[in-house]
Amino acid sequence: MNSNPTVSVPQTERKVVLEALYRKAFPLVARHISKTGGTLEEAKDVFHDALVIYMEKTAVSGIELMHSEKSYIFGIAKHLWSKNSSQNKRQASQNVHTVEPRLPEEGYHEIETPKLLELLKSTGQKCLDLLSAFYYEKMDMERLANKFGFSGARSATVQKHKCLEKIKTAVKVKSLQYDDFLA
Amino acid sequence: MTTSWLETQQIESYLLGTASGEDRALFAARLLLEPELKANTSRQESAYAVINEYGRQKLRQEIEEVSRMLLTTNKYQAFNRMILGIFRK
Repeated sequence: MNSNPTVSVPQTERKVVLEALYRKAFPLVARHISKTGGTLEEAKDVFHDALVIYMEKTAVSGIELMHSEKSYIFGIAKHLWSKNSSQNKRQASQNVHTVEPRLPEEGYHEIETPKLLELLKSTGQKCLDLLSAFYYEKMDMERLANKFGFSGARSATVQKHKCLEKIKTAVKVKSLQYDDFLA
Repeated sequence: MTTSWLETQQIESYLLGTASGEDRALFAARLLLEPELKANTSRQESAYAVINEYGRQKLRQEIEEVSRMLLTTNKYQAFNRMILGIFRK
């Protein structure tokens, strides 16, 4: 069975994983895309989308791969490429990402994620780094504490809670501003 | 706005699907009855969306860096030549 590289590895280690995956799987994807009339730029776009999906899937589910990681990534890329080709759409990968269930809203205005993210990048980068390591990269508390220099899992947990509250407050402020705008 | 640790945890379990069936049903009922809890839950869901988007952007950035390194630097000339060869008509 193959090793199962996930998003939950420290940054530098993750780069090593990405480099290995790139070298193993990109030639396969490039050949397929070239054969079907695509360009190098298109091959890179599709491959990068496929890598993101692969890293997210392996992090979230910790799936044990039935085939090699190379074949798995190639399968995703092939699917994305055929979707792109048939629909002539560059956004196909978006539809493959898991869509989390959303609550039915009444009187609550959806905050535009990209705008809020830009705001938070300038005011709360450290919190975003910490929270994305936990929620997106699925890093456990021990590793999180180690990476961010906390004395232990408990203080990392406390900081994670504070950071999440900070992001929620930003969401609320943005939502109120939106209400004001509509009033 | 301060939310209790417990409430944040309950919302998290509900949104991330880790709550048991009974807890989930109970929480869903509370959402119908408590507008502030519902608003709080929505905010937390938006917060997760922002966090995940940030994580995805960072991952994409790293992939771009790896791509640049493999396809443009002298160290990986052989790999770069092989890829360019694939697209040479």
